[in-house]
Amino acid sequence: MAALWKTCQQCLRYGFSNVSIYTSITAVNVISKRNFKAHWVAPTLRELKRRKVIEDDRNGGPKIFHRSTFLEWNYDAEIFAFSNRLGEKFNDLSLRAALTHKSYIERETARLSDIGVESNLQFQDNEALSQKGGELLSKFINGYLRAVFTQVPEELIRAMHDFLTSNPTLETVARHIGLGDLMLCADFPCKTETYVKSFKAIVAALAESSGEERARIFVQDLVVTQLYGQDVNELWNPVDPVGNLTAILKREGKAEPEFRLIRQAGSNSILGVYYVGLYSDKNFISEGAGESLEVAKEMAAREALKKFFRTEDSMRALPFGRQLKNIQSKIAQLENQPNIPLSEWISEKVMSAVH
Amino acid sequence: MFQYQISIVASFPLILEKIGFSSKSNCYMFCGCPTIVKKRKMSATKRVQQWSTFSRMWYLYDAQWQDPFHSAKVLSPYLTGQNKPIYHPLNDCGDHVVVINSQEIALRGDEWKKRVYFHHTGYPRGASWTLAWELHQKDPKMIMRKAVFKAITSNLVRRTCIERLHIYPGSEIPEEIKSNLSGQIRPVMPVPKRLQEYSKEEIENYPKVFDFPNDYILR
Repeated sequence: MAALWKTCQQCLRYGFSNVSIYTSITAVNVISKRNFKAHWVAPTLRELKRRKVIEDDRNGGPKIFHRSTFLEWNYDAEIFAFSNRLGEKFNDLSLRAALTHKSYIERETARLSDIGVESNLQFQDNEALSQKGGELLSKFINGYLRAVFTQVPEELIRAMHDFLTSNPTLETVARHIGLGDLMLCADFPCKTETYVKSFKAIVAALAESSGEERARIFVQDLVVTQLYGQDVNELWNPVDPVGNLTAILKREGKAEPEFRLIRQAGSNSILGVYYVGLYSDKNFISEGAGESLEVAKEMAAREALKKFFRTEDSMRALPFGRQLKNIQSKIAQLENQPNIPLSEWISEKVMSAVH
Repeated sequence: MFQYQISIVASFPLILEKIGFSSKSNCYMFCGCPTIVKKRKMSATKRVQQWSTFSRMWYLYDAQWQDPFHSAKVLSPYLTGQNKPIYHPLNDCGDHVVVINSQEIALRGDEWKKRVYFHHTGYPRGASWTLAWELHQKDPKMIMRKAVFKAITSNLVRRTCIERLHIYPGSEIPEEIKSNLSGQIRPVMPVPKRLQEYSKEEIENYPKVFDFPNDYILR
């Protein structure tokens, strides 16, 4: 009676359509069984892990081994795979030279001479290539930045260039294209400078093998993209935004900037916020917020400069890939043409956006 | 005053960091295990944006002839911060509300005579029942305060929220509070204009359908 009542309840609750009186077949070729591990297994593994962690901490980190120490390491295959992975054609000799470091050559010759074997090794190191690559890198980056950031003063271009050619940035790029496994160097784990040198040498090797055009696109795709998502105003902003803004407006023949308090809340409290608007001849230019009037005023001036230089938060996304197809020649042209410095900046002089 | 530029998704790491949870950890807020606060270096723009997003507004509410219980329902979202897109129960993003003219509130029907406030001191024979009009005479701010307190959901943040409610029986506000004000909340009931508040010109110029002649004597 109770069972019947329960079934009726279930039918009422779920409805006849949902309840199936046939059991469903789920998996066919699965044998499920319970895993009985002895009572001492888990504690033992836990203790071993604890000891490993302590030992690693004492040694300054877990032991890492180079990929070449593992099985199936074929350097020639790796080189071939590297160029294919990037979709670029490298001269074999140039690529190998780009990945070989002086320290490695020295170590190998010393090792062979210790054994007593005369070294007939004809290794070429990447010193010259990395030098050339560094110059090419700077050139390509500057060309791109000046073509995309047409309104920006030269100081900001320089700051963005310095950021993109900095060691951390280039090391990140080098690591992510797999140079860590391919480089022939004496130090392991490899130093930042080694990665950076290799990467610059790769750029030069590519320019030698496939031409400057390919190398330019390579740098745009791999290095300049590191700027994506970065607030460029973090990299550089003028020391005295109010003064610079006044100078720019004066040069353009516009009225002096006028700061007005737009909104405020909690002036007496510690969480007070002020909104200051910037006007020139009663025309609104920008507004800035801050915890005090001075901060808000400076932010308003900064926002105005960002507006002039077209580097606001809402600026257009950086173009890459197909979007640059038509302006590569313009980029090449602007490699040797610096932008206007801040001291002479005026909106009439800057050229319109290229992209 | 707050800017909606930080999306609610992006703001969560910042909220978590604010209350002491690392955004990189796998701990969820409700597991109760605090991790190391991860300090990020912010650009000036982001810092200012963060500051203005989490700043508190100060609202003014005129309780003249308003129903305190309906007003409380309107005011409690401002105190808890539920009017903001960055709202979270643990975010502590409530605004301040300054209520003036709490002496002039209007209760419905015969509530002044019938509504009773119970209080027990905790000691034997410590129970007391106070009628609304008696309580209002003793402290003209209490009815408003109790109404808002009840309107806020009963939880541990309620006491913090009610601290941000500043009630004044008249229309005088201390200078330090007045300088904080940044907005106003519309009264729940429209306040009618009394005959005494109309100026002589307005009364004379008011369109009339009919008026007695000057020499007519009213009995």
